[in-house]
Amino acid sequence: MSRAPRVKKKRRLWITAFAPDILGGMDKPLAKVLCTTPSDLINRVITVKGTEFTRDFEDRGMNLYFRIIKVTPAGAQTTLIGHEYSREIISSKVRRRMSRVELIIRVYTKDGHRVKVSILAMTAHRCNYAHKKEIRKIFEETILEKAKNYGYEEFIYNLAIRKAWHGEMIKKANKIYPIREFLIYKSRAETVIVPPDEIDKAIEGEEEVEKRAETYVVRR
Amino acid sequence: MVNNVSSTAKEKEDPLKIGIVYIYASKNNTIVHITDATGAETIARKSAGMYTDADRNKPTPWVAMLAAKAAAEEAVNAGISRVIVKVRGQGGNRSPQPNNRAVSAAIKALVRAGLRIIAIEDVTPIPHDSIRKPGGRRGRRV
Repeated sequence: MSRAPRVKKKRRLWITAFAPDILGGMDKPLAKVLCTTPSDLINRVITVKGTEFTRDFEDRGMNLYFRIIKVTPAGAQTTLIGHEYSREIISSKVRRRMSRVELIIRVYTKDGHRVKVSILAMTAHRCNYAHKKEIRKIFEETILEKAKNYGYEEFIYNLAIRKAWHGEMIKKANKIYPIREFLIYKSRAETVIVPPDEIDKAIEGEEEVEKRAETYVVRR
Repeated sequence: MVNNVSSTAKEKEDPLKIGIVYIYASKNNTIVHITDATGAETIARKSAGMYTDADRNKPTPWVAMLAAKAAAEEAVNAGISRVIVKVRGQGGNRSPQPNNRAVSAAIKALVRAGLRIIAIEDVTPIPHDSIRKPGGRRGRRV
């Protein structure tokens, strides 16, 4: 006769992840995340909808990505590593009888991190290849120039949430050919990651973290 | 009914406990997978095949609903209150569309179980280019 399966109990912790300082810091909790031990959390990426930080209706289709870089007894600290618009938002921009000008570029920010930026512009009518080339050149120059003056987090914040340079880029490109739609649809800081040998250093007071965290027991 | 994961007691609902529901709806089955906001920790995972003996019923809306209901109940017990739904079909050079009847039934079941939906996204993997679809020029001849 077979024996009844043993019930295994697994204890998990709910730890609150907070937004980076640029977006409110410890005053702005993003979400509670599950983990078995606090060291599991390092380098995990949290997805948050853009409308949590902006009031733009179009941003309902934007995901912001935050990477957990430090765990303290107060909660997990994150950093903004990128954003992405959903497929529906991008496909709604692309239409017939327009030209799609696209630029995908990797730039180095002031603090030496590499950020990948994807830009999409739709012209009012079909344009020549020379026009497209010129518009792409304008976008590239502007992004390269801006990246030099900011750290990666501030750069992505201005790019995705504040949309600080959209007006400037559209104004410059309009001189070459009228732009109807403009969207920086994706950005990602590619080099922001905690190396495996520094994960232990990224956790402060592991016992205190476990003591303070809300627990959740799962029976298997 | 197979129920291999259960929490000890119903947790209090917390708006910060956000989950991600991955619904994979192919033409042969429906899988509902609920994770935390990082997508790395599984809270519940159910497939339609766990709720029917007949294989022909696996892609049906009714069984998809049962699977989603069971997964959602576990998530609610874990304290999850809000979810982002990510829907996918088979993708690749096969169907770019998920099984919409099963998906809508599953989403209804999530709402009825008490989960609040923040957003619904289609994340079917669609290649920018791909290998030739199998079956040849005149299609698959059975």
